[in-house]
Amino acid sequence: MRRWTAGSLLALGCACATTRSLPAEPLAQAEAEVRAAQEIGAERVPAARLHLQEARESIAAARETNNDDPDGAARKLDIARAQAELANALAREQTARSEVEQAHAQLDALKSGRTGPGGAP
Amino acid sequence: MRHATCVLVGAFSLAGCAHLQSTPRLEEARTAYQKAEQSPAATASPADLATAKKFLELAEKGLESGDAKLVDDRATVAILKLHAAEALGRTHQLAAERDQTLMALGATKQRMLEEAQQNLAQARVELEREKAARDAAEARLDESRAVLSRTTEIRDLPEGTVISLPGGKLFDPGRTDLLPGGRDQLARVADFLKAADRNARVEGQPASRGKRASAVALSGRRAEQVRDFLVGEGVTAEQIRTGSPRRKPPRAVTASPEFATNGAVDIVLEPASGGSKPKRRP
Repeated sequence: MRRWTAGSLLALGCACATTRSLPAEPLAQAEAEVRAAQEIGAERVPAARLHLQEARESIAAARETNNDDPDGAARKLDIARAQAELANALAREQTARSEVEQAHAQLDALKSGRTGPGGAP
Repeated sequence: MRHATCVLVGAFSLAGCAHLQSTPRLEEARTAYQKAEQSPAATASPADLATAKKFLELAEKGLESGDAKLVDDRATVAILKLHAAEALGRTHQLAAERDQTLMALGATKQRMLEEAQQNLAQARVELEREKAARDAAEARLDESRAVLSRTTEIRDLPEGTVISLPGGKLFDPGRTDLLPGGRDQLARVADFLKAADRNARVEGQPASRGKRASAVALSGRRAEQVRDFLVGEGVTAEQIRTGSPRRKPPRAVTASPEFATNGAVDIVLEPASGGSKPKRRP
């Protein structure tokens, strides 16, 4: 009886000390999306920066809750990935918008005679 | 005691199987999906829209578990995917607009270049035409001057080109009617003035003998007669006027015995480069 009690306590202690790992693939995908958004310049676009920050926070929250709620942590990784994807999409949209504005400005300048046919101001 | 346990187990079982109807987050996801289906995302990023739909369906399925947190998490992913799909749709539209604008920019540049080239070519043609006209005018001027210089004294002075005609070749003494020979000579002068296309002045040189006042008056009337004749020959009235003599006639004229009795007429053609602009003939 004494042996059984000691063994149980040891097993319980080991279980408490073990930290469960987040699922590797969803974590890698979420982190890759965060890096991609950073590389495309999401930090420079306010709306994109907000979602990028939320993605980082979701990954951190997934790590914190993984032991107690692994299913919830996995869903947090899904959310993190989606937030990073949205940051990425918003950054791309802003880039496209800037390019359109630049093209319109060039055309307007050309039509109003502020630049020569070469486009130089 | 056994009965109470059964009741409790039954209650827990019912609670565990509680079927959710919906959550505010799921409602939001449903609305967002309907909106996205009508947006450019439907054509621009159908794959993202399909992924969003998958998560929406997962959220709907999650209702069966009764776990509101699970439903909300899946609905949140669906909403985020929908927003990303919409952003991609807008990006596609912007890219199309950019390409269209760049094409318009290229076309405008090409058109402006072509217009500039056309203007340049036109300017060259005009320049060549003007040069040809100028060369022809100079040739006519040289020719008419050569013809005139055979019978008339011509001097190039700072004030201009001076053509001196002895009075005896143009008028009988004391008269203002032009002699036939004088008319011929003045016709050649008219040709020269027309070719020069510059302002000119007719000056009567009074005879040195006789009363000064009457000689001056006669020379003035003769100058007007000469001017009228030249205008009749095609020299524009604005191009030619009369004036008092500002110099002595050349020795070849004054040496003539008839100068003393009949005076002379000077026709002064103003220099090309000067304050006065030449008058164009109509």
